Amino acid sequence: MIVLFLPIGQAFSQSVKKPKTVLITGAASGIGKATAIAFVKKGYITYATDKDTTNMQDLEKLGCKIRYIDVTMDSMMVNRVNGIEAETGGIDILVNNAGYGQNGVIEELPISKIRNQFEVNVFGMLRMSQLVLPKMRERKSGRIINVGSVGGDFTTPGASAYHASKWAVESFTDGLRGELRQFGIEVVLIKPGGVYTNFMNTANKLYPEQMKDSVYNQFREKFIKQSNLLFDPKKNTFGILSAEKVARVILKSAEKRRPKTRYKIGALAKITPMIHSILSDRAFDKFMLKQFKVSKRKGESVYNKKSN
Amino acid sequence: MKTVLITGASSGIGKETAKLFAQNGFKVIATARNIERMEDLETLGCAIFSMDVTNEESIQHTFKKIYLIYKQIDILINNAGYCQNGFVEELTLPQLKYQFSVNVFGLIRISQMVLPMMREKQQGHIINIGSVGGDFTSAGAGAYHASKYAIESFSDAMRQEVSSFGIHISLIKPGGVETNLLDNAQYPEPIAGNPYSVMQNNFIKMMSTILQSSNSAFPILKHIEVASAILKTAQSNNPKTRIKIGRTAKMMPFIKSLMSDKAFDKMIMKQLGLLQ
Repeated sequence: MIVLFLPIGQAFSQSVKKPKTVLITGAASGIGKATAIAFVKKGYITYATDKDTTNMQDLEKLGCKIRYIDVTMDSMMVNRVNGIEAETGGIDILVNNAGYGQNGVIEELPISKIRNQFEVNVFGMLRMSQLVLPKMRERKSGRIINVGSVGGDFTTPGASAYHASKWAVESFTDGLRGELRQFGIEVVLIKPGGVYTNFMNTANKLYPEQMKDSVYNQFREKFIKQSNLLFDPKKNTFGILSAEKVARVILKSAEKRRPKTRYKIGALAKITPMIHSILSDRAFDKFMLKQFKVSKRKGESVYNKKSN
Repeated sequence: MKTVLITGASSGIGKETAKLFAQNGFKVIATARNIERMEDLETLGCAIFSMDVTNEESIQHTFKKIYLIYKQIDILINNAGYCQNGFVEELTLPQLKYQFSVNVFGLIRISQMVLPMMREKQQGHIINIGSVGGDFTSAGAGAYHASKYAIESFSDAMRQEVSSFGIHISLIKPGGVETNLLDNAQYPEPIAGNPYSVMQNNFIKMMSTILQSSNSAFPILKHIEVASAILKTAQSNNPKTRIKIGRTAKMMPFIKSLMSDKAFDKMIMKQLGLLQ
């Protein structure tokens, strides 16, 4: 006698499955916006949040719920997350995407600018995670997806504040993953290489004031020229990614039952850390400085040769 | 005779380094928040100044006094730092921010204070005290590790940005140093329901085993060993970019590079007694 057990329960639960809720920070543009579109099109209850919500009507038309969240304002974050949890019963997926790039050589960077870089890219990410965690722990499920960068694997001159913040994100993501394992919550780090977004426009506006008669002026000019060239969508530079491509990987990392711990996206994200690991620090320095057309000879300032 | 400025010189590695440099004929400027705890250094010939690396007013005030006496600082040792423990969910924003203010932003600010003069002289050496903890992250100490990761990155950029001015940048990476970390250990208050209590107990147990040289399976470094490595770095004509001190500092990154994230997580979780 053979008895068949039909998976009836499974079939039923499939049909009444409630769509999952996702919250995305920094969703007004770039990777965040593309991610919101990818999720809402897949039927997720999508909360697209940003500190400037004036240009998010297109996302609203697609069915996203728009919320104003500045990830540096604690009480606002608490209120918004509480509100969304009351509406939906809980956030299943948090995409920590809000972030920007603070350029500038270390000697010229005011500490306030470095601090603000960390407030947004690091502390904001952590605070948002803290706020969704109690409900995720309660349900013994949830996923936190942090948008890091290949820039968390190496550092270029003239962009240390950005890189250091992304290095910190690497570390926190590792720590958090270990701490949440016991609660059934997955933590994922997304590491795109260069992406065509507004990133460089924003970064170029945020340069620190130049020091008087700055020795770094020439370096700054070269840095801006070179990075704009690299990220010019018309130039179709090798390895530079579209925001949509990154969004597809984020969606995949949200849907996979056992996600990877790190998703490196694009050739640059895969190659640069490899180059870094093969070269000595000094050889890598030379390689980097060459990218910015600042050749290096020790003891001789190449930044701004005095014309005397 | 070279002049060296050491931050966080009131205890631990900083104090030992100040002593060693003084004994080796350097002019030593020792700074820390608490000037009373450096009186012994003064008797050894160090000049002591009170300075809080997170306080701009204090930094300006102290450097004004220092530059009245010393024309030049040849070597800066960015040593001030501490360890904020706690699980990410439990950390308060002030705890998190203060960890970065001291360990990261303070280091940058003090470097900025000496760079113009070093550039002018076309020589100088900034020695940052990082940690092997800048190569991997342990659950229960995310804030500390992330701050040390940030120092790795900033040290790399600083080196790239100023080496053409003849200034050296070195990163010292000790692994497992004998310390009063346990007495000073800062833990956040537990959050509602205390979900991390088991982990917390295991974490404290693990730390007290690992960092006590009598119990530990790891070789625990003495302050003087780290200070000697710093001195050697300062005396080198062509100093290394990264100086790893001790077996742990050399082994851990190697182990991590061989393992997947998930396998490394399991190893750490085992240390924390959360996996059998």
